[in-house]
Amino acid sequence: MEVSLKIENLSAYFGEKKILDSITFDIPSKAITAIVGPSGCGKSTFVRTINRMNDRFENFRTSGRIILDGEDVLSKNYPLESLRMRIGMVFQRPNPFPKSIYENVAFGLKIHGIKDKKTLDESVRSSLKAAAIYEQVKDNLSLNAYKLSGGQQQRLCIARALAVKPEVILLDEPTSAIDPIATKQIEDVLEKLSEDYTIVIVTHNIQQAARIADYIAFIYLGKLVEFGKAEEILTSPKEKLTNDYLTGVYS
Amino acid sequence: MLQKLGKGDVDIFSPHFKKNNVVDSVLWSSGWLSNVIIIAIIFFLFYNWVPLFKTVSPIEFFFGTRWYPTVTPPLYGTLPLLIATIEISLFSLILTFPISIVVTIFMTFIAPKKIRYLIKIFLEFFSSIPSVVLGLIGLSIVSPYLQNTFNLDTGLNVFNASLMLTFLTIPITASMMEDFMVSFPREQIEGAEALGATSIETLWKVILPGLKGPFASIAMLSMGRIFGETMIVLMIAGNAAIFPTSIFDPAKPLSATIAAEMGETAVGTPHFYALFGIGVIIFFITLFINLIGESIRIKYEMEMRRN
Amino acid sequence: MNLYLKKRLRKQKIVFFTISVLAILILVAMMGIIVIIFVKGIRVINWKFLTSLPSFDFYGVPQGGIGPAIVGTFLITGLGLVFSVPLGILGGIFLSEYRTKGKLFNIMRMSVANLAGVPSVVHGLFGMAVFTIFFGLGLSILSASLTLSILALPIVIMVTENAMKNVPDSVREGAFALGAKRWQSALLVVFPAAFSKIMTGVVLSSARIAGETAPILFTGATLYLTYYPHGLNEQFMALPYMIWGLVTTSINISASTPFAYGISIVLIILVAAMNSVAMVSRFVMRKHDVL
Repeated sequence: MEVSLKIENLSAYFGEKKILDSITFDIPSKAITAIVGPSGCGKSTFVRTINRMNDRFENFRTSGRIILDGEDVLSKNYPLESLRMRIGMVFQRPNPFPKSIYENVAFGLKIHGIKDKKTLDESVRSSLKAAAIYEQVKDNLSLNAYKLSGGQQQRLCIARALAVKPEVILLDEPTSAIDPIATKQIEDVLEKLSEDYTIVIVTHNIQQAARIADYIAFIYLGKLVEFGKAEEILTSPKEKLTNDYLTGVYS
Repeated sequence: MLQKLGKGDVDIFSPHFKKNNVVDSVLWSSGWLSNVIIIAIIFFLFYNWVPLFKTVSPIEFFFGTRWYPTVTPPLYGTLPLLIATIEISLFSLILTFPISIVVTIFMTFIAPKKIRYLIKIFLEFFSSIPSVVLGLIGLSIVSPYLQNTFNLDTGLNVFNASLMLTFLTIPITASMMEDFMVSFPREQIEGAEALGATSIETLWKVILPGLKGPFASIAMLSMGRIFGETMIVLMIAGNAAIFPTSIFDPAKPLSATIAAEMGETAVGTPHFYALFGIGVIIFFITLFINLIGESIRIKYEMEMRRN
Repeated sequence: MNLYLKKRLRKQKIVFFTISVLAILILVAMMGIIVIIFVKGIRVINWKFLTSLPSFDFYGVPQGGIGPAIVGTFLITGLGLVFSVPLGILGGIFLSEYRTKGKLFNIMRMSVANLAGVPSVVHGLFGMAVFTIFFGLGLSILSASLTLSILALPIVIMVTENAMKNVPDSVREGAFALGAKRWQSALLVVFPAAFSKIMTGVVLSSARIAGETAPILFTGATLYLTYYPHGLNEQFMALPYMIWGLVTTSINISASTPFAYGISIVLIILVAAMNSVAMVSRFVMRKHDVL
């Protein structure tokens, strides 16, 4: 197993409140790792710590390390912009920019200084294709993204994240706000993407994890209870807590 | 180890903001522009006021009871002007406040939705009528009417000015009130209704007492606006620098004095300096009134957020 | 229904009836003001009135038109916006997107509110002291529009700040997650999203500065011009100032009054037009609402 991100002894705090408690495990490269656990257990905080989205909250603190390519991304010397180029994120609710489809996907490249029209066009097209939305929008790339359906918006957000060529894509319950058919489409996209990208997906839906995950990390009350191959966790969990969760005690 | 996150690259809303590039600096400077202007206003007002004290004592300026800038020797007592302003502002507020409440209650409780929407549009439109137009109405219609009906020496007086100021202020006062009324916590209203209160009882016993804070702040903000208004009082307060003893006396408020006399005085004369001194008085009193209004509003908003 | 409840409901009816009567009276009085203006001034309005130069006959009866005053009002309002809108938008963006909890920041926000509360006559004094005298711009279109721009600045700032704050936070997070810097999120994502709302506010504030009189009293307005200004360093006529002049300083006030009403109509139609532009754009925006 090739490792993409090494999580070492990661704790996170909002003010005095400890949200994550000494989490240590390796996130495998080019695979889907699902972060599961009951709501409020710190799953979201975990992924938002990886790309440092939570830095915006002034009372947010972390300790421990997250190693990407031998460097600690939590270090204050690690430039935020390049971190976020390397680790993309898709949010719970689709959050396209109130711009055209094209501008949404090209945004990341543009702010990182790519101006060449041909490169942009090519990248927008390939990203939209990878997110399996190209066929639906190719004739109307200047359409405002807010005119798309929820599922389409979410795939557009995936395309937007792909355009900057990240290595890791974080998804924070990406299907919780959209309908089952759109959910299926997004799951298919993610499975396809996992051939080239490291994917970390937070989900409270254990069936979803079963459908798409290669690895599962179970977090409970801010602690990592168990991490392993998906089929092992689902069929023969080592911890009683995991078993209880899977059988529905906490849901 | 508890590590504090990076200083140079924290995101939005963080207190550790550091300007990283030209754009940040430009935005940051624009943010400060209002401060710079306020300080510049204070500086230039004082700069053109202080030389007055070479010829006039501060006590005479603030407490002198006669404003006769054109007699020899000229007298620069601003007290009658200040009293006139206070009298007109208070009287106008006394009219504006209850009228605005009545209009607001009508809009929010009684009128059907469509009518309410129309009234809102009308108030917005009316509030954009320039004050000089209301001054014209006061001068050419209200004044002769008052003069004939009450058999007065002049219809240009405290009452007329206050009345037209009231028309100027009702639209904004009522629309501020309406904002608060509409956003009043639904649960509290339902709580009263669940106990069988009629809507008038809910209004009287729950909503209006609950809005005491915001309404106080609205009163202050309206007052701040009335206090410095110029064109209406310039045209219809009567332009007589006496202590108005009745609301049918003419008067000369602070702002009108500046507007009426600045054109006739030369730069660098004591009269010029005295007019800037009046500007100082208006500036600081409105600032004070607005600060009180603002702080009441902030206090109320914080209480609301806590609940 | 018991007797007590009946009594309460009757009381409610009486109170509501009284309030309705009072409120309708007030609203009718306000509408009456507008009606009076139109009735008294409509006679003087014609093409010549709108386009020709002002003149007075031997008895002080106004003869000509208000052409230079219309031009002057448009000039100072437009220039006032040219100075205030860019700076105000930048300031509003800072207040909305660079929010911090610091004390300095509160001072910054407070001073915007305070500047908005400065009476217009004080703006007039300040404009005269700074632009007319200190910078030596004299009584001129430039001095007056700079003075008006300072009056408009806090309004533009507040309009911008509110419009930007209405853009949901998730949009900003989307930008940050792609590695956008704070200014990139502010200028490239949030500002375009808020743009039409900001413009609505700017139109409304321009209606306000078009009607201001006190700030231009001592910065360059004049009552009588027999030509159109050729440059920004010249004096100008303005509609609100002309109303004041006609009914307070002209030789024949009673003959001038209908003229003043005519100008009032023009001014009211002008601000009403600006208001409706703002209203229509707000309506259209709601229809194609993106946010």
